[in-house]
Amino acid sequence: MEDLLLLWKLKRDSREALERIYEKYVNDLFAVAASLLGDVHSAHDVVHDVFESFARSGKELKLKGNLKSYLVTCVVNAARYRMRAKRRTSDVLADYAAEAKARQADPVNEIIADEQARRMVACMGELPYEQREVIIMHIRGQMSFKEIARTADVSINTAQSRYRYGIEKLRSLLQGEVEL
Amino acid sequence: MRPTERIEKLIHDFEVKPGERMRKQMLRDTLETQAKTLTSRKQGALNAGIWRIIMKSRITKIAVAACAFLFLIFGASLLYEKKKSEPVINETQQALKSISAYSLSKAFANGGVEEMDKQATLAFKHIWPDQRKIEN
Repeated sequence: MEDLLLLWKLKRDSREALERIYEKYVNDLFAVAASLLGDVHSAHDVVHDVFESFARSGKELKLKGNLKSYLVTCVVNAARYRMRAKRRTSDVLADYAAEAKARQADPVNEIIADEQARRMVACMGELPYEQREVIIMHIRGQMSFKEIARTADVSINTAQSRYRYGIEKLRSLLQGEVEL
Repeated sequence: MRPTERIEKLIHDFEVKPGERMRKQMLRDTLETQAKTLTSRKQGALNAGIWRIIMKSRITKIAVAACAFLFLIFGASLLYEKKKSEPVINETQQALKSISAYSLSKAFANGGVEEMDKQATLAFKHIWPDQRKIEN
């Protein structure tokens, strides 16, 4: 309900509404971006770009679902675009698993307080990008598989199996390291 | 709690926050972008001209459409009236021919005053068919 009111105000060019939306969702979106990209600097850039284009769209914004899902979808799309650009421009960065190991000294870990969560982010980095995307959209974005399938341009069954395989892999990676 | 649920809970709960400086910077940039967009939109609206102003508002759009519709109806009815009045014009021309000095003098030469009266009655019949009614 609050989101609807904020959107209504935002369409009437309210600065306070934009500020409130930012404060409400920036942490979640940053967590989504960081776990998709495994790098706080890229996550910062992605969230920054998403909020800038959100601020630019203002009046023209036509939202059917909920605001959080919309913003998470924007972050996921921007992260996907960034990953593709990275793959195109650098072979070194293509191997995300290797990057995840090197991330031990990355600032992202300094911001993650919980040890289990830190391990979780590292394990997420070892999943194929498509599985990571579905897991993040479903759990952090609270999106249904139907919405995820539409966003990722795949069938609902594909989205569901990506989720299942991803969770299974995470379970085997975390076995013994995290209390399950 | 099942392991799958535990993993889902971990993913759901883990926190990665942007640093305070980054956070403020992003907010500042976002608000700045909004302000710039508003300014450029207002500037654009001023430069856009009357047509865009009309077409941006739903009410003016409907009003313009209604005016165009009325104009069409009015034009069509005028055209129809014109077509309808064409035979009347022809009849008037015919009557004028019938009542011309030449036709009247010819009628007078042929049959005197009575014939001339007939000719005049015939002429007026075209433009005044209900003459008798009025006379009565």
